[in-house]
Amino acid sequence: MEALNDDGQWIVMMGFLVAIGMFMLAIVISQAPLVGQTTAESVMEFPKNEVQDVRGKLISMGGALPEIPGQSDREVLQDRFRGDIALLSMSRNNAIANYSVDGSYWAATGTYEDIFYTYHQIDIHYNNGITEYTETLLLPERR
Amino acid sequence: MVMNDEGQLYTIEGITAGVIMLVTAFTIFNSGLVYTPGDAHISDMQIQQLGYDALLMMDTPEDMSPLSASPLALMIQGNDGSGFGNEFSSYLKSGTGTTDIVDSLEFNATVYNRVLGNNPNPDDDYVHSYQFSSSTMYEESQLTREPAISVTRYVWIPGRPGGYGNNEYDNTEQLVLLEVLIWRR
Repeated sequence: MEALNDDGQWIVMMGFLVAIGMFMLAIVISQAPLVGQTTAESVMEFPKNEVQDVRGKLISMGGALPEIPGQSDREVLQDRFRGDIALLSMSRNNAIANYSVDGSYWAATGTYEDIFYTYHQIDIHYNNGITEYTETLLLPERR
Repeated sequence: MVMNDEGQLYTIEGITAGVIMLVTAFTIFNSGLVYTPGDAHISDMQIQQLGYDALLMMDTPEDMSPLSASPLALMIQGNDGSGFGNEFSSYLKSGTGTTDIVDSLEFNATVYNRVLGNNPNPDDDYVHSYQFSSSTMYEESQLTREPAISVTRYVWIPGRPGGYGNNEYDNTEQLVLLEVLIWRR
């Protein structure tokens, strides 16, 4: 029997390694669309913009309310905004969103105070069935 | 008798080939088919963020006093749908500004406002809606468009929304919901 020709073994082995490397790269590339899709779905599922929207509205509205004369006007305004947020978020965003200021209505003295500011306590609730968000926000008002 | 050790490289090669075939078969039968059509939500996420950012910019008031009306609020109060359409379209196109194929985002904006019932029972409240604005190719793109993305924003307006009707009674400060559907035609 003729002796085995074992020349070129390095070339064979390097070709083998290159083939393995290409195979691994192909696996990585094949996972890329799947990773992108699940990441995008996770980002879209989390209601970041809705929560930021409600939160920003409450901060900007809360600072204006002390300038409205008469406690009853404030209560009317609070009722109005609370009802708007609750009904519109329920009907169009599939979410329960509600808030309260100083318990239920704006208190002229705020809930907390120090020597410079009174602080109005704003409780924000948001729940769209997937993400639940609750925050207690202290909005300062210069005394 | 001396053991015959010829052909060892062939043996190794054969084993290696067998392993490669096994791994290949294992990979094939264990792979789920990853089907990524055009609505794989990757571009949806970018369109959604683009829409939210555009609405955020338009809903930023121009002075810092509390409860000042933003440009978007004034558009809704004045029922200025064409003004909204021009500005929102410019924001959607500001990222590319190239060809019509790239700038193929269309939108349709709807305003939802809460109408108070006649008595103070909250159950009598209902949601009223009307079309506020749409892009220029809105009608033409209905047949072949891709699925739409919904972006919303609460807008504080100092009076009744302009498209609600002047004869209605609900003319107080209120929050309305602006919903914009964005799609690629």
